[in-house]
Amino acid sequence: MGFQHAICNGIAFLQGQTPVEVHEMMTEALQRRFTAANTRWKIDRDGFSFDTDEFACRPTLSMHATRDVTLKCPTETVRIHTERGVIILDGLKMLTGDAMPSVVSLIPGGNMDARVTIPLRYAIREADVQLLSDVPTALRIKLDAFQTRENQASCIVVLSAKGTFILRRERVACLSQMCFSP
Amino acid sequence: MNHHMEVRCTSLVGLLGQSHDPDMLCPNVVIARDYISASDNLQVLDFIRIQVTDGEVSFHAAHQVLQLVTELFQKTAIDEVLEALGWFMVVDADAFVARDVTQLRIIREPARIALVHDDLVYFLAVQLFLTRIRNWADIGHNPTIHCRLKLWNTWIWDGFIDANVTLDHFNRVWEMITGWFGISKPWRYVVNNRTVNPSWPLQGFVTQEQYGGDELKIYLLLGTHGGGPPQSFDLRSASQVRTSDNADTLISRHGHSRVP
Repeated sequence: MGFQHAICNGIAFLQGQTPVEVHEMMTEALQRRFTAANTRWKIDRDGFSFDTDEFACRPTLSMHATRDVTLKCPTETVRIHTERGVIILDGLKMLTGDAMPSVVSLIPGGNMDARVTIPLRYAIREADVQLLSDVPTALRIKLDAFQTRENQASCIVVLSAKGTFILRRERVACLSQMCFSP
Repeated sequence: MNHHMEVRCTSLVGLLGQSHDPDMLCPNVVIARDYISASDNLQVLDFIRIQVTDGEVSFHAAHQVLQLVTELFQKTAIDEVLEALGWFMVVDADAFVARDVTQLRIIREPARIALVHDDLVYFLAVQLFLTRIRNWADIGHNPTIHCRLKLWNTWIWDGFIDANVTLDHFNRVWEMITGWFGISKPWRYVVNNRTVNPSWPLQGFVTQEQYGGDELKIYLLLGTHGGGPPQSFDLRSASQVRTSDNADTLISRHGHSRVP
């Protein structure tokens, strides 16, 4: 989606475009499901145009709508990008292993006075979540979690240079569903 | 802005960088990578001083040497793996502008859940070990034995070795790297369910492959400290033991009578 927006925003800055033309282009771009891989640019004397390269078109890959889970500890505050539907405690247990805090509190709306112990099956919904722990924690993933036979957890942790993600495991969660190549 | 996003990366790999088949079921934890790890002989690290202090790892050398170190980390994609685990490399901004950087530090990334310091140092040593051995093709003058090394359920080396090669070939590299970081974690090498002396030639442990060739599978495990489980102390008095229903069991378990 970001790629189409970028193209349309770029076009909107071109001179001589009316709002109607920009709107039509945007509608067209969104309908054609452009990606960086399947967009074909043509440069002519009069300017340039772009079209979809059907042969380069790849299967649509799922995107993961994520919310931020912020865990406040005595020594630091960590942020984890968590997909909607993930059971927070399951994801935290997988990330922290034996460093999992025994008590994790939920802070509704960031109000410390309203904090409550997080329910066991509490899942991420529409809003970001703030949590509080009385003890520091760390990344302590068990080695067997990296093995392929360990696929029974309800969520999948993706460690990335861009952040730590916890995604919901679908019924058939193969690797190609988790990854989106640029 | 970040509320709808995909995990954008080139590949999802295992802990030691082994690539996964896109069609396989996803493990519980994967690492997202954009770069492929290259090998290196790590010679540049001979010219620097590595300091492991509480909370960070720092590399000290002249500016030009640290440039090479940075290139090494980029080439081997260790910087990317460290970032995935919550640590990243920094230099002093003023020194960078003055082109006089003398210290490269690996510190915790703010607002990220990260490995603890000891785990980071150990993991960094393992990554450098893999970087060093990755480009070893065949070892010895007459490499005829197919040999594979496995660490943490991952095959980390696959090649042919001479019959007279010993595991010291690998052990020396590991001890050199752990020496840089001041950690003591010797491997225990296991072949055919037995711990082997790394100084012994490997020809005695070879088994026949399914198709007739010689094969050697070596498993790297963490060394043991010995001593067995802690002894439990019996805090009961002698008279309590005498009247206990389990007195016989206690005697047979300890191998001698505790009853006076």
